[in-house]
Amino acid sequence: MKQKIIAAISALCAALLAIGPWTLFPACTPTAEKIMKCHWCMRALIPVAVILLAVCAFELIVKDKAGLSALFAAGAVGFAMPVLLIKVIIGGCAVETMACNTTAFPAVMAVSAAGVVCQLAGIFLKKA
Amino acid sequence: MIVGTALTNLRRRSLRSACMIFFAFMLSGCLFCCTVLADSLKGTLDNTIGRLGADIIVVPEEYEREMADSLFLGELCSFTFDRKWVSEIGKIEGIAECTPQLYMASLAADCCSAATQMIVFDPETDFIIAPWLMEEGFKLPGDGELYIGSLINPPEPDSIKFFGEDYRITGRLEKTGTSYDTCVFMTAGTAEQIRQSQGWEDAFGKPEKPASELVSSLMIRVEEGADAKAIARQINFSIDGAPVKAYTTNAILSGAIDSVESMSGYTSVLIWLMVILVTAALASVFTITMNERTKEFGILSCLGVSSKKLSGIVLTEGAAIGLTGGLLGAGLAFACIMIFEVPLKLALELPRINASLSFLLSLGLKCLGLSLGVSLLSSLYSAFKVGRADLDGLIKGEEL
Repeated sequence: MKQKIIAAISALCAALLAIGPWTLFPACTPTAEKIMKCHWCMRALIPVAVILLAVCAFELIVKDKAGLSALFAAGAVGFAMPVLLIKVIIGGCAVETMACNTTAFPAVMAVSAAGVVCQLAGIFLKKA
Repeated sequence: MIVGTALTNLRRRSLRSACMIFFAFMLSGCLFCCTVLADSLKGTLDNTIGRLGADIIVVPEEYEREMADSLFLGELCSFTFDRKWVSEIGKIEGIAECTPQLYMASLAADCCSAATQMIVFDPETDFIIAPWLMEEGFKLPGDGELYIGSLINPPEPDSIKFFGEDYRITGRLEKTGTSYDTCVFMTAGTAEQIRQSQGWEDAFGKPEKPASELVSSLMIRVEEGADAKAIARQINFSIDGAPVKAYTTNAILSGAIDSVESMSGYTSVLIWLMVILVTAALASVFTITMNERTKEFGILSCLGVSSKKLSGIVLTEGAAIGLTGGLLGAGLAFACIMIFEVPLKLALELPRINASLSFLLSLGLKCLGLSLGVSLLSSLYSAFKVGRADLDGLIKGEEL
């Protein structure tokens, strides 16, 4: 049961990663002259979040212990991906006061961290 | 056996254990956050003074604050005085070297690029930028060329656009942890090209004087043994009509130095207060709990567990609480610093936050150590009392 609750919370985190940057904690608004780096970064988050949603859905369905552990491990790695997208792979605007740096990136990283913690808790609870 | 019993005890009294872990968590988290903030301020100040390499700074009158903010916080500044005062000041006795610098501020090219501070130095007299370039194996920049600070990330690796024109990047300087990391460095030739561009004229109008005739600050290094304060005073009072004022490096950064000192003071007081409070709180909880558990220890003693092992169980419980709380506190603070670095920096108006992994990891270990030490110290008295108690008293449930 505990694993299922964790999977459900993780699924919420994954959904928030996909929807949040476009609704709750938006990144910079693209202008007519230029579409910023952070915009592409937030778009790249969508497929990652969709894959994570699928992983979380499987976590809710699968009953096999080994399979569930593998899914939690994969989920933990997957939830670390948004941080990599922001910090290493794509990044965002150079100006620190822009919305992406002050709101969107910290929020996405906080949700990702929560997801990683949930997935690791899933593995730990599985073993306990 | 000791570790297993201690952990089982903690698990069975989960609420009490959680409360004690919370104390250790608060101590570790507070120490971590306060140290990061205080160290970031102090590190930036030390680096700024170290990198500056000048004893006296001469700036136009009433621009002391702008200069200090530019040096410490990296804020853009753009003020000038006439170059003729440089030679006047240079004649004063006790001055070993002096070099003028001109500061120009660019405009943000678009929403994705930041406005940049341009520092124009004189290669013939410079003793601040040029030695730094030599140290890193770079040659002096020619006309149309410039060096960029480590935190500037232009879209093209070998060129940067200012006022609609491209300029060649000849190198990227190493990170200094100062405002220099967000500056570009050039000589008067390049500065003149920028000032003559159409974009500059559109933004600021046609320049009245060439860049080579303008000075924003004069950096002075005094002779060995000379009194920088006395020379600064002499500059201020012996040159009639000069629209400039001389400050020693410490004087110009006095506001920042005071802020850093008071912040370090508050941090130390807070940490010591936390250590005392957490030690007292944990010691109280341990003492009360141990008095409730005398019968449990009596039974263990009857079963042949030595008094040393009984003390060991109490100490292990203390260590487990300290380690768990310390790890959680340092871990959460570490994550918060990494995630909210930019919003924290902006909200607290800090020049930078030291979020280097090596620093944060070593600090995390220190917090863990402190939390463990405080927790062990708190359980020490209870462990001593349990070890000294006689079997009869333990079974009767007498107070330890």
